[in-house]
Amino acid sequence: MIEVAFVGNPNVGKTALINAIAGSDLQVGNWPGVTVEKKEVTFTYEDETLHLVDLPGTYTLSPYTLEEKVTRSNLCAGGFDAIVNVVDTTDLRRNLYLTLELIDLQKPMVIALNMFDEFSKRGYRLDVEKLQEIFGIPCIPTIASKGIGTKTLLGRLYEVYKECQLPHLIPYQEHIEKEIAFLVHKMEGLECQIKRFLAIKLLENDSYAIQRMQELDPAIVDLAHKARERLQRHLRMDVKEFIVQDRYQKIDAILAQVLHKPLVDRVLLTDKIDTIALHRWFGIPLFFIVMFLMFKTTFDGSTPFVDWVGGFFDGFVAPHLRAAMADLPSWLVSLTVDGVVSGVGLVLSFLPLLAFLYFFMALLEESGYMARVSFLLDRVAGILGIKGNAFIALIVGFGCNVPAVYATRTLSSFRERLITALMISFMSCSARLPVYALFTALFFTRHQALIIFSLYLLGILVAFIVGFIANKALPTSQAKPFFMELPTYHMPSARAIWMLMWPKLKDFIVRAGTVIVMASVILWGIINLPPSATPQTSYLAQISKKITPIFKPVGFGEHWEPVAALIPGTLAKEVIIGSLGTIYGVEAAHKPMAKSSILEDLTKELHTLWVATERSAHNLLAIQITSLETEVAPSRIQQRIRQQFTPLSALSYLVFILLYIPCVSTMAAIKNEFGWRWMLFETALLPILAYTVAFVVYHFAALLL
Amino acid sequence: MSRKKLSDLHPGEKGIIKEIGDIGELKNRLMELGALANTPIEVVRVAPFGDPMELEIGNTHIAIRKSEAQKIVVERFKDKR
Repeated sequence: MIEVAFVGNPNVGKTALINAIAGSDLQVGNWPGVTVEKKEVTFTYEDETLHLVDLPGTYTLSPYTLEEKVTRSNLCAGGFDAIVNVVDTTDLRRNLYLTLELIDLQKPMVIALNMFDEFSKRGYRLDVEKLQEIFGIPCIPTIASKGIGTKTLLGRLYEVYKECQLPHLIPYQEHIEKEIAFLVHKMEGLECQIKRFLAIKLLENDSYAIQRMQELDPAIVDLAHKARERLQRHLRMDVKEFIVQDRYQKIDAILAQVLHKPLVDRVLLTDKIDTIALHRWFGIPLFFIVMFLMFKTTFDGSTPFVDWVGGFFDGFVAPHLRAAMADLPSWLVSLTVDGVVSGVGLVLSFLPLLAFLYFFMALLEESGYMARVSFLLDRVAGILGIKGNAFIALIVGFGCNVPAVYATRTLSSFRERLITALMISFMSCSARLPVYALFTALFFTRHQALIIFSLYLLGILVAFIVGFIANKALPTSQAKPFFMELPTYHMPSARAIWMLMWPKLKDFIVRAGTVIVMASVILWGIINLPPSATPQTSYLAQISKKITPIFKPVGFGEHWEPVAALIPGTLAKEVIIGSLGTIYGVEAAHKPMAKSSILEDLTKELHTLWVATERSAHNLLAIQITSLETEVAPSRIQQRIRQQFTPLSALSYLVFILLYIPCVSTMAAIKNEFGWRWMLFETALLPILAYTVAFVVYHFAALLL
Repeated sequence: MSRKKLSDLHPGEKGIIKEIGDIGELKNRLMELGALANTPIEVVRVAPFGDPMELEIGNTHIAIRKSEAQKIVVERFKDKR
């Protein structure tokens, strides 16, 4: 099997290129031990099996981020037989820097001159023949987005490997070369394939090279140190700086021979967009508009589908399962249908929402706007010890906390990810809204919008306080200064977006799904046991009756029913309303059994799916946020709530609901990303925090009202 | 010709990099992206809240915070673009 590494700068269309080659066979996973995505594909070409691996984008082989480290370590581990260096032809000078470093690895190599169409469009011309002559390896113009050049690329890659065609060395300045030769000579007996590369990196004082050599032969580290001192004295400047300068001189010399610039560099579209997108006054409002549109579309587009999935499980899967299991003991039927299957239903009902949200996230990321958001908001984030890009995750949290937790993956350090994740659960997600709507409609009819808005603000406030404390409390790792490229905007392809979306969706179904189904079964247990319990005598009722007095100081400790509803509410906040109904006994838990045939009902479900699609499309065109219109709850629940709450205690109850736990799905995501310890920490912290804040709000509001 | 901190340049102003001070690993990163001594650099714009700043080196646009830009000494071009 031929192991091939795809290496290139970030945002050069490297993933798109490997996509175009791999087609639908591309596999997405994680690099071992880190949450950096690994994309790979295996297929047969001619008589050989090719294994292509997409290494994370990097500017140089002196890494700055976690992702870049993955690339460097993998390249230097020596497991690759050949390299495909993908370069952005529109910025050759910078991209060739990495190329020169790769050449020092002395592996069979091919250069993909990507974005060649854009390059030509800007009026540049390149002498590809001459470039090939200089590097001694094939250089192939490609247009990844259209799949152009991929066949040639593969063919040349195969030849290069078969003939073991190595790139020509581009010699450094003579004194540097002398020291390299000296070090390489000293390494002669060592078991190491990248001697030249390590020698130059040792001269650069690169910590990875030094560490690696320390393991191989510590004496050489000393020799390298002396060599560096010799050079320093002779060159009268920092050796690293000299080497970087030398590389750029070589690049400029090469480009002088092969690149023909147009007389006038046209103002790029990106510059024009950024004069507005990053404008002093318009930048921030535009950002809010983009966010608003993203949420509007996500909610309005997905709500009909979310409802449909819910209906599909309640109205089709559950009744038919009950019919099919009619002869089995009723507890088993109930466990299967109300425990396991309803858990599966819950997982799947998240999918439409997540799919829409991930679509927009991918769109923003691929297009290049995401980097702009970081740029706009970095100042605010700096106060909390995080960087601008963390805000993306926080904003996603208003829609749903689950994808928000996964969105922290793009942040550069574990510390930043953790601070952000701790803040996310206070972003009031869409599932909390129906509960606010029900209670505020009853007790704050006149100021409904104001109260709901205040709850959102309270969540943000608590998030900032928690973030601020976390920043002070967590040990500071030597944070690297903020650095970010503002890449050229470009139109993302549908495939690229799908490739970003799909692994995340799959991950949610598999990993978060198992935890949700487990939680669903446990909850089923406490709601339905002991055997033949009614909603008033179940374990849930018994537990709630015991803990209810605890809530007296925060105003809703007089009746056990609202407290009981909080427990199923951990599954998803909107479940609170349904649970209140069941516990009050106003909604006799109806458990229909299917009477008609499966086929007949399936046709009906397919019809309603079509209706849902139509509604979704209709919603997207409407101007107002349709899905935020309040649902009308059965008036008998309203009566009971009125009896058991005062405006003050209702407010306190809502504050508690806002803060006490996001939901089991979010906790599952936190466990996934940060491990059991942080998940348990959150689970313990949040109720205490919610209680404290509810207490303060209850007593403070009492003074006002 | 006057020496200035990069952070003191206004949006649209260009300068020649004279010295990059102690900004940890960012120094190597900037050099490897082409921000070497005696190369031109332009402050494209500053973010709405006053930080970070967008720089143009060669064809590359990058953002760094002012706290680091302060430690980069440049020689300002007399004429604005």
